[in-house]
Amino acid sequence: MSKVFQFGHLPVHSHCFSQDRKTLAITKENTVEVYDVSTPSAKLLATLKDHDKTVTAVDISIHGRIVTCSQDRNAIVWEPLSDGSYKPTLVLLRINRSATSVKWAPNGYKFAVGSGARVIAVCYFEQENDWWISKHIKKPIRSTILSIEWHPNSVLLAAGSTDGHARVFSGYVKGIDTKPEPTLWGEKLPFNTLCGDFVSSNGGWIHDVAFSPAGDVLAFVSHDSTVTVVYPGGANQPPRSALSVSTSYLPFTSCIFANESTVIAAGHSCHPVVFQGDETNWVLSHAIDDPEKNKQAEDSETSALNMFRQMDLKGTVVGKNASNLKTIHQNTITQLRPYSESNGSLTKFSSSGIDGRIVIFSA
Amino acid sequence: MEDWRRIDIDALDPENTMTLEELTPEVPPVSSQEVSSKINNIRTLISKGSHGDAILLAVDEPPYGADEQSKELYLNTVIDIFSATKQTDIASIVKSLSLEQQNALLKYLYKGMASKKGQQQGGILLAWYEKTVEVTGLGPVVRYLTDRRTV
Repeated sequence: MSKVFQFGHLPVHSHCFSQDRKTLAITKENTVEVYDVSTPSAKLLATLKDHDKTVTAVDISIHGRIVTCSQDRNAIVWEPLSDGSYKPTLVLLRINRSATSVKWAPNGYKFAVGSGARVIAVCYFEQENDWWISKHIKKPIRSTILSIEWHPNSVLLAAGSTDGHARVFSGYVKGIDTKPEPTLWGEKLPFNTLCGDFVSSNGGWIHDVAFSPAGDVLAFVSHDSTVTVVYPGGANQPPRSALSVSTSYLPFTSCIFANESTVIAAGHSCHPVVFQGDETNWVLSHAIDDPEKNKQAEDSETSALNMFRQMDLKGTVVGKNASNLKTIHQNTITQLRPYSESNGSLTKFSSSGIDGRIVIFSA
Repeated sequence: MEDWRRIDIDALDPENTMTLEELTPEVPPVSSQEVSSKINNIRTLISKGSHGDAILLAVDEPPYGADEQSKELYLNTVIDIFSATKQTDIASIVKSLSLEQQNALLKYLYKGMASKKGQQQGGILLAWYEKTVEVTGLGPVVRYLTDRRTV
């Protein structure tokens, strides 16, 4: 069964659970709200208020630090204090357009911010200056970066952009990272090395990118309603295979790997869809929370509240569920996140939507 | 004093602009002879009455790389197939197409609606559109909107 949180009716662009899944951070207009979700009803713990434009993304590191980025061109790291409040530290991003996405590296010592300024800012803490500073990945990016994803080794990162390219870069920072083991993406990885460049099959925007749990497979979703999975062929080699699945759904805005051979994607169709495959072929497996199958349950549900709400909104009582979608999310899903796993495979994942809902689905 | 706040600084940055060519996936060039021979083949199929095969030929590898004039002629031919086909046959024809071919079909329907010739046969195009989307779902519509390879 899916667990649903409703946090008002404002869009949630991004959400993130803490490592222990007890706290949840969600974006709400110019602020980020932090909730305690260990009890059945969510309790508001803190509101993070320092941004003065829409917050576009939020992420929590394995150490519990929260990072937010916003259309005001800033990123802020929020350090949790013992009294339950958070201490903000502004990060010097040096960008002249809005920040669009932010992700902590899996080791929690640095993070990357994608932006409309055609750069990726890789940020790390400098002990001497007591300050978060950033290094820019510039070339060959020539359009807005919409999504960022780190490789499990915390060195490589993937970025999806609006010119239809999904790229893999090295985000190696001297002094912070130890020399990474060679991977299929490359052996020598100085900062800003381009390790892979892939184009969506019909040239649509790349909305989201994802690495497989082992990091040897890259998936991305683009605005042409396709999911593309790429298997790299080794350093400076063309990919072993790049497989694209076209669907009849509306475009997907987010994707995650459930395991090496399963990808879950969701977006404007308001419910998650599961894809499965291997190096030779990928296919659409099934839909989760499928509106086709939900018809019965939704139609039988009636409530007085709903009736009066419809009378208030539309001045009519007929078709009280007619305007409801037959899915849990009532609007576009903005982001998927892994929630829990067992035996290396995802068992639960969470989603946030423009309808203000956070849903935990069973995979 | 010059109103410097209104200067479009992005226009002054040569690295900033992306041309349409850079954003379009590469397509092999198609000569006008190749297009006209394909048009003749399609016309033969129409006169034989095998409209399903005509559609199949038309939307299989459409001439993305041809010049505008050839594309126009090609479009007119496709519209001719649309109007020659019986409405009851549409669904079964669409079902017989591959995903890639369905995408191309949707492109021709939209392009047809934008052309003079297509507008004179609006009803037919709308019937085709309705029956096509019933079969294919919204995917090909989204792909028509995003794909920069035009028919």
